[in-house]
Amino acid sequence: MTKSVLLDIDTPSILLLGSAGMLVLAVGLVVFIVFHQRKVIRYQMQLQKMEEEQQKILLNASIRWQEEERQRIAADLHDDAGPLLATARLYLNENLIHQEVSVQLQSIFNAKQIIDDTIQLIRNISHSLMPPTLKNFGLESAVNDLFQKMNGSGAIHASSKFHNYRERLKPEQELLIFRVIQELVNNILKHSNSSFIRVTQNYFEDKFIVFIQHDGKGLTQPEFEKLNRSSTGLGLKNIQSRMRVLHGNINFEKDSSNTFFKVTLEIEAEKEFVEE
Amino acid sequence: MFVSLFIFFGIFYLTFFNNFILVNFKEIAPFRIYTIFETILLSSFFFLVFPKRIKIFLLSIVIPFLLYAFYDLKNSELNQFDSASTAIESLIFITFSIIYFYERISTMEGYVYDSPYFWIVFGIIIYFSANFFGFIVARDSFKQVIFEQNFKLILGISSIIQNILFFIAFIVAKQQYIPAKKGSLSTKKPQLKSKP
Repeated sequence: MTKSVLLDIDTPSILLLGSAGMLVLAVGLVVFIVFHQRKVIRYQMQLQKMEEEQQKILLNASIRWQEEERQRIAADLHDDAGPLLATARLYLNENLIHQEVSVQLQSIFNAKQIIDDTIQLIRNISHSLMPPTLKNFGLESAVNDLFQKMNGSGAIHASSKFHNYRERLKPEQELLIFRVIQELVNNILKHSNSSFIRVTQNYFEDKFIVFIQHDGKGLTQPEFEKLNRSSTGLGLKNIQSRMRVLHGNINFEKDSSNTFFKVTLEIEAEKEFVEE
Repeated sequence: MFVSLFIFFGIFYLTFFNNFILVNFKEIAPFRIYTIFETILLSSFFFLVFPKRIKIFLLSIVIPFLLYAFYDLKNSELNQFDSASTAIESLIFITFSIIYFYERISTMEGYVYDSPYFWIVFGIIIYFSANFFGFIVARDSFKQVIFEQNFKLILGISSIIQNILFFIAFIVAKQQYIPAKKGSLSTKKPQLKSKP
């Protein structure tokens, strides 16, 4: 009897409370899902926007670099080649005024010398655009050539060791890797105050790996990323955009011994097709 | 998508008539038979909506349950409320609804409420969550007047909410004329035709 009364009192309230609780839970779950998803999608959109902005910065840097390179070539041609050719023209004009053979010979000799200088100058400009060593003998020789010139100054000791470079990469890939190494080495020379630079190449899981080590003041990955996002650091942005073209990764880190800085380039190797 | 919406149309009417009979004529037998039909219809819907890997899980849960529901229908009094079957059914579909939501969060195919399936599943989870406790105690308490009144109230309100949510699902489905792939958890957003 008592049990029956209790059941009579309790069952409806249990039913109402339980149903209300379950309903609140179900609605809460759906509301949570909707808000969570909105939050995630908003975050993803923000991330995408940041990526787009980063790409825009890289594109601008690349355009700026191209413009600067063009200006440099224009300045070289205008300031050096232009006056040299004008002087040669003057010497040759002398021949029309002075009829004496000895004077004419002298001015022709002078003009020849100036034209030789101009040829050398134009060759230098051409080499700076596309190093002939790289084109003819590959990345290893080009890096060695670059380091030989640097070692000549006596201020720094640069060395390279290519452990696995029997097959050459595609020319455009080699040029991009060389430009990245050149830019990195240039930065080390300008900012790091280091006494040595060592470049090592190897393959790891079909990936072309280049390590660049130096003992000066270097960058870590967060610093590199921060500089990449800022409006300064044109060279680093060029490195980043070249690495994107190469579908590769670049990583700046401090050596475990804390005495060296290390830059690692990791690139999907595309080997040059060699006819048998 | 049309097949799953057609199934839903069936559920919509069946739920309405079944609840109408239960509430007005106090006949439990149609409700018991309806439990089996409802399970088949809702499982077919989830089967169409779920990705392949979850379909096997769905079948492994639903088939044993249907066998049990048939056994229960045959071996117990027909005019007694089938609390066990309906409670298990509620748990199964609440679980499937949660799995659906989890999958939708994981796949991130646009906003969750842009899909008509979301509103349908929302309706299902509301209906079964609200009635879960009622189904559990109905077997012993259905003859009590106070319980019956409360049960009718909850059943009626949850059915109305469920049908409103199904109605929203139809509106959302109507706005989207690109059918989703079979097995996809969402439908694509409509695309404007370009002017010639």
